[in-house]
Amino acid sequence: MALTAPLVAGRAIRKSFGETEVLRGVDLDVLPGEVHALVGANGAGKSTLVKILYGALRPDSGEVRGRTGPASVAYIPQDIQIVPHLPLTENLFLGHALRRARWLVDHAAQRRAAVTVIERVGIRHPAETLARDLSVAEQQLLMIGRALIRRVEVVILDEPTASLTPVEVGRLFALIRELRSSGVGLLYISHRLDEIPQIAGRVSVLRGGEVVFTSAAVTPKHELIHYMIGHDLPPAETRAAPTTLPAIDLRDGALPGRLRGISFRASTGEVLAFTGLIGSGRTSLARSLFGAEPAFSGDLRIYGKPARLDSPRAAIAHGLALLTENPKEQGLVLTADVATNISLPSAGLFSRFGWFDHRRERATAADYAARLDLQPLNVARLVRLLSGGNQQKVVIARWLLSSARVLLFDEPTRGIDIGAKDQVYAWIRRLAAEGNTVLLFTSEIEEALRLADRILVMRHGAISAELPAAEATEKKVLQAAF
Amino acid sequence: MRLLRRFGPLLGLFLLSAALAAASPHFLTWDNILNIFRQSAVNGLLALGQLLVILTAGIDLSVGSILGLSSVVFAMTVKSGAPVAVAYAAALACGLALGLANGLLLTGLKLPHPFIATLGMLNVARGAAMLLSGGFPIPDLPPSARLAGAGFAPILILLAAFGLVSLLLRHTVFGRDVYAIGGNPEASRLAGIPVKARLNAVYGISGLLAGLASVLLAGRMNAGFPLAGVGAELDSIAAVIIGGASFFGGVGAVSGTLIGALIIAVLRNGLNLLNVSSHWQMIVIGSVIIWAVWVDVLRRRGRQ
Repeated sequence: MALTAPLVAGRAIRKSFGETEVLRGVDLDVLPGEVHALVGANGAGKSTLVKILYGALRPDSGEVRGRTGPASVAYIPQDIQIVPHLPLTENLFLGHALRRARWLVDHAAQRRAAVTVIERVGIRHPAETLARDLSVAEQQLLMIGRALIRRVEVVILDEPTASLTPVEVGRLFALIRELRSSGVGLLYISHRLDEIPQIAGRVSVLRGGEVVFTSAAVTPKHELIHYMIGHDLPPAETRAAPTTLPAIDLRDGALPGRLRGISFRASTGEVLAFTGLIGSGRTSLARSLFGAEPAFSGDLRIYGKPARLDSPRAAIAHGLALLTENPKEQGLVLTADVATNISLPSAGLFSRFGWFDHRRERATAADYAARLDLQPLNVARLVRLLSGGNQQKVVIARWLLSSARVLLFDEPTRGIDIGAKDQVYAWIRRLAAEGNTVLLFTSEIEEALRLADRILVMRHGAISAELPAAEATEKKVLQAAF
Repeated sequence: MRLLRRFGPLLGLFLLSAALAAASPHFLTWDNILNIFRQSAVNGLLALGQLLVILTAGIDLSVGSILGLSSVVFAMTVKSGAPVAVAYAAALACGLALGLANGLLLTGLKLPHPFIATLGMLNVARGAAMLLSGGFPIPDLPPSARLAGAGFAPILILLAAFGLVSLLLRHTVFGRDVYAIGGNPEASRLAGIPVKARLNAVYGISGLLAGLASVLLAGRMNAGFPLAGVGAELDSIAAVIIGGASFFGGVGAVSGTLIGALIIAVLRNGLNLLNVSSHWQMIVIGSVIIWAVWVDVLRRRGRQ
């Protein structure tokens, strides 16, 4: 291995933003035909390091070298950046059109190259297909295809499996292995530590702006976690037994084209998980229960009383809360401060004869923020300046204040790191222990197994299995999901 | 830096006034200052409605046409012999109804963007004003119908309207909801905010303020004009943007908009005093809009 020169090598890279030193002398390289995994908690400096490696940021000191001259690196971000209305070919050559006679696009040559690349990355659609008609997984493959068109030597994949089904992950891994064998180097960033031994050769852990550990990818998971957070994880939360008092009871829930025949009951103090593949209807069910899908029908009772939830407003009045999958897009008002975001559904509490009492609102919001250990504890701070984990806390504080008793969590830990994840898990268990009911909608089977008292598996818009926590295993869940 | 953000537009207004005071001896006279406030009243009221709309990340292109139609409705009602109070009510009701119609087109028909609903209304209301009036001004109003445009009345109405909307935005749940909707409509809906009702109200208020502006204008000009307010929607948008509101919604304040409207009025007034042609005035005001937003962009970039 030492005989091959790295395709990209960062040496003693330092970078500060203002007074914060984000990278403190990082060495990292990617060899030809290697998958090098990079892990680290949020705020460890991963995204800054990656930006420096692919040339979007300049380091304060240190250097990035390629094998011969500048490194040739492509970055495939987590959020897919394609042009939805253009065909695959145009997307592949975006900004790098093949030319004829200097000014003209060579459509014929582009098409020939596109067909080859589309097949190589495993997209099963003709080159004329519009990018928006691809699945999320295929759009990701398209972005990798774009890197191949440019013949880059190193591809950086950022959380590539975050929104993929197990089958799609398998396809992606096959492509990664094929790229590896053809000499491409890959830097693979993931929060999913289980994937790393399957796909990577080496793994590096970034913590506090330094590479604290580099070794073979077969390193046990608990050891990686130890290096990532600097200490071992606390033992799993103790759980109180749920009561038998029914909190939410649905019969024959249906949403045309997406959900059918959904019946379930959850008791006060219970954590009930809904899991299943992408497209199995989890998010549709969460939104339907919250009154955000007007076409939803079904016989719903909340605390024994019949409820018609035709708007989120009505659902909130019945004590429901929805913690959306993507707080930045559907949960938070990024132009506003923390206090406003916490009191958003409860503004009426602070209003007397139409006059809004800002001081009382701030004080109350600060109480709830403190209960959730918000960092920094400043409710006048704009919410967009907070980290992902703290933004999630703002949303939880919001619904605690609104006195919600039935909490719908849709993918509560997507995109947040292991340390913050544990805090969210602890909160979910604690909310249940305090007499709330939690419906957990998650694609991560491990999360459902860890948190839930019961697991309902969804497939094609219906419930395909019910598994009590004591009997549930990953294998049983997967069998019901496919 | 934060102070500059807060008082940037105000500072601009002072520097501009100081320059014009140095250039023309007539600028800094009591009469002229009153004149500036009077001239800013109509645009100020339109800009106030426009601010509410822009805070929700929308736009109201129809305020100028609603102003024109309301002024025709006002003058015709006066001329029909009905009590003047009825005429005032008719002008305000006309503005409110058209504004609500804008809101319903957006929230009920689910037209993709308020640009479209209000662009339609811009044409419809202007056409209706021409039809009703036959295309001619309706002059010679009795003194009681000129009250809103006389003496200090426009200034008092403007300040009262700004005070009320400022209270509405800062001290009511409605105001908080408006900012939240502009910042993130989906998150607002999922937090139980009645987004559609709020949007209807916002466009309704914008129309109502255009109706109010129409009686000021009719009183000052002593006539209802079917062509009153052609292009006024652009001045109102300019005042809001110069006043520091974000075009993307969720950010902006009443005080900034008032200053924005004053900056435009001061520019017009000062350039008139200096005998600068109205063609040059357009070029200057256009440049100020671009400059004001550019400063804002620089400031944001500096913060990141």
